[in-house]
Amino acid sequence: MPTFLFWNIGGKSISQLIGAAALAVDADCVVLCECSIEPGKVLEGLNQRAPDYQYAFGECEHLRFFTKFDSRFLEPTFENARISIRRLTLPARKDILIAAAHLPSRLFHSAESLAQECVILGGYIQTEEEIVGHKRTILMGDLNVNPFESGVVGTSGLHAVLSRSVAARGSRIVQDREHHFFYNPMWSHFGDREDCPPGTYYYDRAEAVNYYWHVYDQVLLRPDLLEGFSGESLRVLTTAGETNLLDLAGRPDKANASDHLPIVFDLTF
Amino acid sequence: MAGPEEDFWPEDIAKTEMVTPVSMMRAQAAILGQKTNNQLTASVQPISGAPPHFVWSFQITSPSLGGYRYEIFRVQHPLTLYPAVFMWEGHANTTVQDDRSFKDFLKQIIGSDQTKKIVQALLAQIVR
Repeated sequence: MPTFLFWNIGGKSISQLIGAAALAVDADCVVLCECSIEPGKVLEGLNQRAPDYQYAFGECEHLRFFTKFDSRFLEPTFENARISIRRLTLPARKDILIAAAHLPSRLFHSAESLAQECVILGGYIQTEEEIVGHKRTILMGDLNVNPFESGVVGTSGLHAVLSRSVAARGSRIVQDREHHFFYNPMWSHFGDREDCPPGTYYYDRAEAVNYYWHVYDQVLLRPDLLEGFSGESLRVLTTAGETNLLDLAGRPDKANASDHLPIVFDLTF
Repeated sequence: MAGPEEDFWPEDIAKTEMVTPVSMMRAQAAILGQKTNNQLTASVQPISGAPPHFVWSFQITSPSLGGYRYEIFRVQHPLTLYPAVFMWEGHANTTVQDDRSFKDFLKQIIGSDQTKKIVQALLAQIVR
């Protein structure tokens, strides 16, 4: 089953670490966010053991795709500077849509603005689903909103719920309009758990309400893909091979790696 | 006894010289095909789901890359058309108050190096 790795590398030149992370989990598709490294340089890291990976064409500034399979199987259909929606057509498998997003920074945009970005992202995904005629879609990205916020949960946004069984209903009618669900397994990655970080991103802000740890990096799945997804396969990585991605305080090591931790998951389709 | 209905509507109710943001965007979209021998075309698509505003996406399409579309910028405006807000990546959101200012900013985006770079990259991808 294909393994996907998503990582916001925060503009850092860490191609060897990217390679180490991808090789450690044997990723088939690597999606990098805030990647200012030339694709060729990233490939040097990914292909440090063997020439397995290819760069998958795209014009999205904020997201770069690399594949272990033939990159022509991952065809971009819609992009802008922050969103890339692609059709993945692997031999002997049903085609799926892979949407990736890096929504604007929470440091410079209000919660309301981010909620609206989620609404617009949801609209782009629906349009592509209508074009391909199915809803076998995964969305991964640094959404800069937590799973519990209105843009992710709301019907006009991504409509992503925390329960697999609720999502499996497919859709629901609200105010005479049908809204299709996403399942958001990232809810299970909040807070202290054994051998797991409390989130994917840490930010300490001097204000009354402070979550400290956030789960801005997420993967969402349409119900049609749930059968091939196990929540156990979804991990927030704290190492890239032998390298610890956390600093001595147990937070993402932004000095030597990235301020975000990578997420990885398997999907059968 | 009921007489003829009175007409409260102003005489000039149907007369308007206002140019809508979407018509200006569509006019520019139509030109790209001519400029690139239809290797690339452009269109203006409505984005659903952001009431009470209208949101329009200016997209470049490459028919020979399987219909691949790239969004250059978005415009959001109310029913009354203005103020309209341009959302252009790498730039702060820009609000314009009338059609003249809209046209000026549209010209700035279409003529920018940022847009040119995208168009040229897509053309290069086609001939590769």
